[in-house]
Amino acid sequence: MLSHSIPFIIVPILAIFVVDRRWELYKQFFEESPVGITVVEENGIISFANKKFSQICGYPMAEIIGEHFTKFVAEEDKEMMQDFHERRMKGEDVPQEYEYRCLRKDGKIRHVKIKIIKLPENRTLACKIDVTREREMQELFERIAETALVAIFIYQGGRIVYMNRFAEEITGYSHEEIKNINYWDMVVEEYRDVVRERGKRRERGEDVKPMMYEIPFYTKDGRKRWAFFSMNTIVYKGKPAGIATAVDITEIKEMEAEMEKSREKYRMLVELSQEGICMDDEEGKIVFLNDAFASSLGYKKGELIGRKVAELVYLKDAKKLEREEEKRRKGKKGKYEIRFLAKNGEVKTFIVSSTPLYKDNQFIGSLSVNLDITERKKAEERIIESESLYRAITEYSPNGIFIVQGGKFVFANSKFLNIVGRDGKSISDIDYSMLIHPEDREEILKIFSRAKKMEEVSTPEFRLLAGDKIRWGVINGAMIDYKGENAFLGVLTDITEIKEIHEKEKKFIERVSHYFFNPICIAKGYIHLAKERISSEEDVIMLEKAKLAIERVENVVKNIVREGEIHE
Amino acid sequence: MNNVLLIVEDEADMQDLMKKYIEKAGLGIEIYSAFSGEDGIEKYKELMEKGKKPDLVIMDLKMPGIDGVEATRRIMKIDKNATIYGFTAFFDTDWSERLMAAGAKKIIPRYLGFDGLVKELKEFFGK
Repeated sequence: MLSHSIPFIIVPILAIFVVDRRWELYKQFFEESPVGITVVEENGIISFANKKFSQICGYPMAEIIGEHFTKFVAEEDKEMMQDFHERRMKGEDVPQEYEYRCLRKDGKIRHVKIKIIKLPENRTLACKIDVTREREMQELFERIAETALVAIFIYQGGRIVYMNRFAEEITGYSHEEIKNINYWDMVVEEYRDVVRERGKRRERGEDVKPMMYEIPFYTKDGRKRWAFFSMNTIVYKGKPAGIATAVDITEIKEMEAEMEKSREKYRMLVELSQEGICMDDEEGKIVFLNDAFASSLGYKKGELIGRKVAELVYLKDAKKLEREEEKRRKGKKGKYEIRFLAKNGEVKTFIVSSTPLYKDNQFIGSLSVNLDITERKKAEERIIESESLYRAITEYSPNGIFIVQGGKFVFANSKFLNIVGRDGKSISDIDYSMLIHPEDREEILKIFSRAKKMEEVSTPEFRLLAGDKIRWGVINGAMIDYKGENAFLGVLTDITEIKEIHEKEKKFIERVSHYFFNPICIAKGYIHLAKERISSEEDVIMLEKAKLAIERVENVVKNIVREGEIHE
Repeated sequence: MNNVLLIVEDEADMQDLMKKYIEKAGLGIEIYSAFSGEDGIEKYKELMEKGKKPDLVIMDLKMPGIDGVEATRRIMKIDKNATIYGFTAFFDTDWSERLMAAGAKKIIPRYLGFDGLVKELKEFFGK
């Protein structure tokens, strides 16, 4: 679209030449003018036309001069132009500049822009420019614009002078409605001044940067939407104008906002995660980590960014890390336990779940979730230690230790198995009461039934059935929780040997009693009788001494029997 | 009618001394001797059959054959009203308890000697 304003500047000059009767002097100049020039008399007859006009209308000069000007006007515009001419001749105010359709000799229509000045002798001078190509271009543009899937706006003087169907759709305004609105008033307040300032500069034909940007605007019904605008300057209908193409990106913006929210959620999740999250690049250098991971190793995040994971690993696990990193490079996920060295030198154990990262099929690093299990590990070690201790105590205990649950043995140490002469398998198959001698069973079971939690019960000595032998024992025990259920924990003391020793001791005492007291008793008896029969005082004294000696022996034996000690 | 005493004791010297001391004490009781548990039971039955049921049996514990406990148990079976005193050196062993459990009424420790035994008999026979 070219500007037609400059050629029309010559119209008043031409008028002066005509009026000053210097016409003949400049006639040749007019003849060669690139602008079509005609002089029309009051009666509408063309008295002068130049070559350019002849080209525009396609008539030879001989068929123009002396003809009524409407001969060269399309049927649709004839009445309007005749009307303008008549009124102009009467001195009325009619448009001096407008477009009309010229009817060529070959019947084709040309679009002509005309500027007319009334001359003093009731004649008119008109300059005509063929704008057919521009009109065609404009039509082509409008047709393209109407089918375009982007909104197109053209603005001049602060108003939108053209917008396509798509622009109507996204703004909600009709073409007529939008003509009355300053385009910047459609823009959301905070962008309004910038849009107005840039728009005005474009309308003046200035090259304004940036040419593309995203702007929020209000639709006719007040909804806020976003559009991506591409701006430029053009000449529209002969005047500088701004042109904008716009794509409605509201949904993209909303998606972006949603994604941003989502990203924020993920960021929060990562940051608030109790598990250490770490991302390293293809060289194993840390490119991202969360606070949890950094702090679990006693570092600040910034201290670890850029450092190789291998620098943090406990030396003894370095090879293991290398093997794992190699797996990631081969695209394999992995879950493994590894030890890192914290800033303070403490060895910390982690369970690492690692996954390789790819971009355009190229390995770019790995993402890992690192769970600090140091405390758990220590606790496990403590449990193992205490279990070992407990096992050692249990296994080396001189007492039989057992647990009965639901009438069955669920645990028995070696000593217990040894006492009752069974192995682990056979003990678990029998009812515990079957180990108690039938004569003692009722009494012992009664005692067990009185057992309560944390309240010790003790049995008297009772007999245990140890295969084909009988052993003696006592049990101390209490109810406990074992694997979530009530159970009886018992400690069996094997007193069989003590009982045997006791028996031997008893027999010894009995024998001592039998073999010592009877002769002593007999000796004392006879001495006493003999004393009564003899008369010699000396003999009596001797018998008395014998009796005393026997009584001394008797006292010794009595002390052995009663106290187990040898003294008088 | 004299009181009847049956002494069950395997040692002859003990039998001899017990008789001598009882006679010396002048308790006026008839004394019968048995030298084993089995002998004691038979004597008890025999005396019962003769209408001379022993008023008291002095029972030793340790004897060849059946011991004093078993002999006491069997006599008690024959005569649930029998009165049996243990006179034994096993005074501080569970034999004493077993003898009492078998039906003996008292244990006279042997270390009290024959005077001690006589004192107990006087008390029993009310003399």
